[in-house]
Amino acid sequence: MNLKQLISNFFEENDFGKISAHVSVVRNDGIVIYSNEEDALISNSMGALASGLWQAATSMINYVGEVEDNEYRLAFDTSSSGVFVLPVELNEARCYLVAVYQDALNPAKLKQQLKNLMFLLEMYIRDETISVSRNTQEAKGNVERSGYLFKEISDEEIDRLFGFTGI
Amino acid sequence: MSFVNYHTKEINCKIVYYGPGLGGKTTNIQYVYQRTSSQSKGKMVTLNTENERTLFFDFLPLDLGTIRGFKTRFHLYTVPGQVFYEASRKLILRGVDGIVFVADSQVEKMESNIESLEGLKKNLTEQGYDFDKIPIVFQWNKRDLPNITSFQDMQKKLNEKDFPCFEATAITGEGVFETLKAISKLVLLNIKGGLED
Repeated sequence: MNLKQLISNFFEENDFGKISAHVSVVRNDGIVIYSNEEDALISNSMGALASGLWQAATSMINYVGEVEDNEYRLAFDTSSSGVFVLPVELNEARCYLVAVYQDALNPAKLKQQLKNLMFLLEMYIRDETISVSRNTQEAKGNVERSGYLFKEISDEEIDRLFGFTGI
Repeated sequence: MSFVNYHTKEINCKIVYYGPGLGGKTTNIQYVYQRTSSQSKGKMVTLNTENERTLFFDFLPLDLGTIRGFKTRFHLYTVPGQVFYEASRKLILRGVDGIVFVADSQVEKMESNIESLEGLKKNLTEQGYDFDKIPIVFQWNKRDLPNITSFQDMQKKLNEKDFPCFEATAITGEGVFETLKAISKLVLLNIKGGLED
């Protein structure tokens, strides 16, 4: 089971996707690993922006000295609406837990819940990864993913990919 | 770094348009945005300065069709071209799968093109990429203008390794999709992790 599926299970099994209007887990480079947003195009934009926000904020902090950003969180909010981003380490990869909320009665409580969620998610992924790794080692005949995904691609296949343009 | 989900058969790739300020990077992805059906594209995100120069990045998520059963999604980014936004350029290059270098063909812009290309090489090296190995396509933009450097001189000064290159007039769309198709092909061919050997 890959990371994306594990995170998806974590949110779906526990209904954590309902914690705020938008909640997602985003890789450092902006790729969305999980989102409760059904429209992938919207969630992709959210991912790129969240990652960009974090990177920009980190760069600003670095102007006043070298700092580790592990303990930071990023908030942009009013008394009831806002954006809250937390760093999470998943399989030793830096990701972000991103929440966008609106009309929250108790934003402070929501932020605390998101922090708890961050720890839970890290723990869940750590435990599941160990378990999956054991099972994988025991399993025989796994498909080896080496080399390149595509050995060759024709120009016609690329044209079909861009068929929506009519060009 | 491309992200392949073998379970759901999805490929996500990041393509960055790089080049000197006012060279036409944003115009490229604006044209792609205009020509793409609403089902295939997300909202184009642009963070501009007051005079509409790109401040942080432009971002366009594109859902393409499927290739060999894999649903393909490309994220197009542009970097700010102006010299003093070096930090932003470094950040946006993180995790990049392919680069389109958009050069301004006007004679007086050659120095800016060279400076930007050197910056790209330096930034890629700093992040552990090998300029000679990462998928890259050159675009000689603004070919409709009168005072332009010849194709041969553009090649000689900017593309000595003879990477794929295209002449373009991004404002009218000429060469825009040819460039994007070429980098897409290179990026897809560069995805590691074969299903079988």
